[in-house]
Amino acid sequence: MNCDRFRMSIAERLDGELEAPQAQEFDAHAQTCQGCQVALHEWQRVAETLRAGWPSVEPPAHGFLLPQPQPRSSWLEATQRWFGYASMALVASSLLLLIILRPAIHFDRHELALSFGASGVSAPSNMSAPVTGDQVQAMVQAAVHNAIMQAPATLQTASQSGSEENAERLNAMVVRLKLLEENQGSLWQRNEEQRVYLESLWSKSQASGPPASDAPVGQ
Amino acid sequence: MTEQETDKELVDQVLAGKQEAFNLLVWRWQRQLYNFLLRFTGNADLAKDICQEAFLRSYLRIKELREKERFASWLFRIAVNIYRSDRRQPGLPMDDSSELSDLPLPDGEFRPGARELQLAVRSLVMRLEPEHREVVLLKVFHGFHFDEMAVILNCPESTVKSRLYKAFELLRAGLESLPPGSIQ
Repeated sequence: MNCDRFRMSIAERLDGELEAPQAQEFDAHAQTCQGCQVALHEWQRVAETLRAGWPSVEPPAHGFLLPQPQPRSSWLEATQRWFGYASMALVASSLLLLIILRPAIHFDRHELALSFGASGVSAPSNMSAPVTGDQVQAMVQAAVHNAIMQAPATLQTASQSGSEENAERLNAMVVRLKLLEENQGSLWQRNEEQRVYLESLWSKSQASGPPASDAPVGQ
Repeated sequence: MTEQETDKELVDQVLAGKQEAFNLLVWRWQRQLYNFLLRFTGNADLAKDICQEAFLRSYLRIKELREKERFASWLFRIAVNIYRSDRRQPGLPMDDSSELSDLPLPDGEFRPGARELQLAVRSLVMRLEPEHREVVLLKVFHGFHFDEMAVILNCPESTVKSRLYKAFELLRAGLESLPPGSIQ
């Protein structure tokens, strides 16, 4: 080991980081080289002076805080949150229906009429019959009701297949559907408010600008 | 849970959902980390804030820790990243040595000249460039090995070594230039 290598290895030797053969080389060099002995002692003196000159202190007495685990929400909060999602889903599905059916209000023989259709071609008379909000509501109600009615049969199938996990999930789903069925009044009311708002927007746009290019023929 | 449990075992327990195991990790490392940050920043409030943030981040990201037995290196690396990003913001008193005499002192009695020695050493350490100060603190005060320091500082071992020897030369020269009798 030469002197440069020795001096670059002092910290490793003092901290026991050198492998045994390297440590033996280091010690052998220290015994034969007076300059490196001085360097080694200098290093130790500086390190000891630093440690003595800046001793450790105790950290803040209150310690360091960690986030507390979130308490599990109650069934009431979970239900309320679920209904929030359900109402949003209903509004979203209604908007989707509006986009698909593309209702247009126009004057037909001096009467205000509502028609549905995507293209500029006149819809057949039987297709242009307006689909009312009540009809859409009835369709959704029927779908929910059917799901509830079919649940026992599905549950029986799940229990026969031995899947307790699936049966639990289905039970939970039935509970949710029943809650939805019982609370449809408020949900539909919110949906109706959305519809009225959209119609008012549509009316404003019709009043302030030219008719849209894909407006139904015959206006 | 005993004091004999290794960091790796405690990390495993945290990952299994035992938050109290992390409290033990905090208890084990808070003194080291706080003192490292105190000596690096020269500001007790800033050291406390960074320490708190480092423990919080390490707790939230403990799933990302690959070498669980190297929890301490990982924790210090998080702290280093925090103060490096903070240092880029103006207004932080990172290199202001005017508060050195206000830094907390350890409890106990002091021999004559100890106060002068402390001020001299703190002044010398704080005058080092941050990259030199880091390596001196990690090696001399906290006894990290070079491979761990390379992880903490995110640079090659060879760089860590050359910085340490450069810093030691500066410190040795600084100590020699002190008035005779100022160091007991």
